[in-house]
Amino acid sequence: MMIEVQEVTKIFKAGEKALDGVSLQVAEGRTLCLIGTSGCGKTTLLKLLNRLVEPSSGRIFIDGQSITDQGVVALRRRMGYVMQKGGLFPHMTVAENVGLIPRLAGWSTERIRARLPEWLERVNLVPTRHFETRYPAELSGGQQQRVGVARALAISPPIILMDEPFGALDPITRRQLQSEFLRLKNELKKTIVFVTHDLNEAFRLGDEIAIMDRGKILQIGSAQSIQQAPATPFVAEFVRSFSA
Amino acid sequence: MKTYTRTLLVFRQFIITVARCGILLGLIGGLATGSGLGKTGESGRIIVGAKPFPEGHLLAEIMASLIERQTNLRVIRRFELGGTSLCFAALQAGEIDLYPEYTGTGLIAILKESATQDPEATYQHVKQAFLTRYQLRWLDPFGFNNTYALAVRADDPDTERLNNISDLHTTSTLRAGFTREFLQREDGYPGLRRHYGLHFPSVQGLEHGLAYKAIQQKQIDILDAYSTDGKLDVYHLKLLNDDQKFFPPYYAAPLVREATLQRYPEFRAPLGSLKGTISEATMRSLNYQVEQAHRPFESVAQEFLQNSGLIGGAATDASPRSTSFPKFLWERRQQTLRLTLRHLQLTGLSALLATLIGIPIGVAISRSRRWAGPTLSGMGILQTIPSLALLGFLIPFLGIGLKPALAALFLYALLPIIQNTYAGIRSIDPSLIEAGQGIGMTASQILWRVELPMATRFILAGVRTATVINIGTATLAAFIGAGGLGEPIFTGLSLNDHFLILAGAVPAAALAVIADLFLHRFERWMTPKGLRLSR
Ligand SMILES: Nc1ncnc2c1ncn2[C@@H]1O[C@H](COP(=O)(O)OP(=O)(O)O)[C@@H](O)[C@H]1O
Ligand SMILES: [Mg+2]
Repeated sequence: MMIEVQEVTKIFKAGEKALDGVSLQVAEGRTLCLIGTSGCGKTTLLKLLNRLVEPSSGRIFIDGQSITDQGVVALRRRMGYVMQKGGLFPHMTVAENVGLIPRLAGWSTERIRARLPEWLERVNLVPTRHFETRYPAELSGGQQQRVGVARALAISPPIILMDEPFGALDPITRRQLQSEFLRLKNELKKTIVFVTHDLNEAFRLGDEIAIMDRGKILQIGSAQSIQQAPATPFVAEFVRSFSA
Repeated sequence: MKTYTRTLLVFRQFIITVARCGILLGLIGGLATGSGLGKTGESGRIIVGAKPFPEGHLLAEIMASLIERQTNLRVIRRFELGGTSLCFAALQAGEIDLYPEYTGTGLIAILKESATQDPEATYQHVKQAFLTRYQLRWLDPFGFNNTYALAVRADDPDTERLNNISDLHTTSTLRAGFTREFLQREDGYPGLRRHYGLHFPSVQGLEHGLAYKAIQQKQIDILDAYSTDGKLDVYHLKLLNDDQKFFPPYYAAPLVREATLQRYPEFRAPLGSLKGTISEATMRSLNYQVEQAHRPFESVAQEFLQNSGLIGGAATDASPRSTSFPKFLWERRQQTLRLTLRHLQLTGLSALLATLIGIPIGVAISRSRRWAGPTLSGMGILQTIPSLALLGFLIPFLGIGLKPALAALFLYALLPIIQNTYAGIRSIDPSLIEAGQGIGMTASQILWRVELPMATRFILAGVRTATVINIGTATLAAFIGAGGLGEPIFTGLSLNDHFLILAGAVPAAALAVIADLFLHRFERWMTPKGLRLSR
């Protein structure tokens, strides 16, 4: 699954470009990390991919097909979505949250039940029996985030969109989840767009890293190329601020 | 574009839901009207109405039981109807077939003409006018003249020298307590004041039963009374002479729809036999029986009919009313049960209807800020219309009885339900809705699986508020003939009978408390467990 963004501009308020002529590509099975200061347009760019936001101009393709050519629900079901605070439904148990999309996609209860342990084990929510019947309010932040990831992965979408999924966690839990992410990434071979504001996280998790500022992408490349040859003074300063 | 399809989807879901509810309501409505009161003109039924005061009630009961005894017609009683204009409107609309009316009231309050002093001329005049103008017929009068009168304390040094209304010029300290009807009618206080040039330092609007208490406790000094009032002697009051002849004659007679007379000529004879059978003294004593001796209308009417030889048969139960309230309640248990069931029917049906319609409206306005403001403030204004005014306003469209009562209660119940549904859905974190969209839920899946479950608590709290308020408001339904626990309350008020008031008020209050507890439990039970944990 290849993602291609061509010259996309997004204007919410007249005169202010939240995104300004953004173009990028993500090759199948690769992970792109979007990084930049708060308000630079990372979330907006991510939401353009699953059409929670529509572009003011420009086009987006997945495997060469424009994302507007298909139904929006069908598009989103081919893309897992993980939000910062998990986005779990508080009135549903872990099992109900994770099994929601399979259920809406028409899976039988038995089929969901049978797969549930696998989904929870994948994100280290073990023993799975213990977690199935829990409500989000009964879980720690890290556990909630794991449920969010399990929900996104349940029906095996080829693409995963993640918006600062570990941003609100304490450093120890964050590192732990990052390790698990790397394991899953190698195991499942998804095409992933991962938003973060932490450059170390981006270097650790991303195959490519896109550095953004005020609605523009300043540089896209591997961790190494960005460290060795920053494209602009802003990028150099940004990298320096994290290595310090 | 996105919001547009979303709205469309929700709208489609709404239509489906409403269609389902419609079928359900049709069923319930069918049951309700099947057991409820029929419309006049159906085969073999006569509907007798009465204004909400004892004499009107008693005369109506006398007519009703006589028709029952002497014809094969089924008699339906719709007593305690809100007042002259309500009774007259109901009669014209064919919601009732007859009710007892007074010639003076017909002349002044209905025909809007000025008073004449000659009783016979007045009667002939209204008879002619009603027949040509409204196709309503005045049958022969019962005999007595129940004119308006002013009464003062007989044993009070300030008032004992007063004999005539014109004597009121000699004093300027009397505080008046008049019924609202008297205060408004041209043949009441406004006309009287001009005719005699009267002035009182204070004039208060009081309910009739309460006015007697007030004059006894010297909170007022003069009140309006009927010359046949059974309370006059009990409270040691004396009537002032209408020496300058202002009050027109008020001879009571059955006022009947001409169409009904032609359809069922057989009920004319029993009413004719009542001609001239009730003198003023008789009427005063009959009034005394129900108002002071607290005997049921039915047995007083029965006894009168037997004593005047109009019906035969064994002497009826003449036992005096029990003196302990629990015993009184126990004796009325069947009646109370019937009234309570009717009360439940009124509040239950209206709350159910308001729930089924209010939730979709609340959901719809939660999608559009443009509609939310106007809808909520419109409903708010509706809420401020006094209950009786709203009931009165609905009569031209829905008649009297169950329908306007249900409609009014439904309208009152709507606001809390719409408001809470709206607030409940608005209180949901927008990022949760976005999460639902992001993982590929459709608009209606988000509504049914996220928004409605998360708003359940709020919505049910609205239903609870609406129901509890409606249980109180529904007592007023008695005024338009819809029955319920308001019946004993208002009869009790006009009879100044505390037991009777309580016989309606206690079950109504109990009903409100039980409904509140029950719906509170239901709310807890329906609230998704995950939400109870998080807050
Ligand atoms: N729905 C919206 N309406 C108006 N402005 C928005 C909206 N979403 C984002 N913006 C604006 O677009 C810019 C980029 O926001 P965002 O993509 O959320 O930034 P980031 O995720 O990088 O912190 C910000 O200036 C933000 O205020
Ligand atoms: Mg963001």
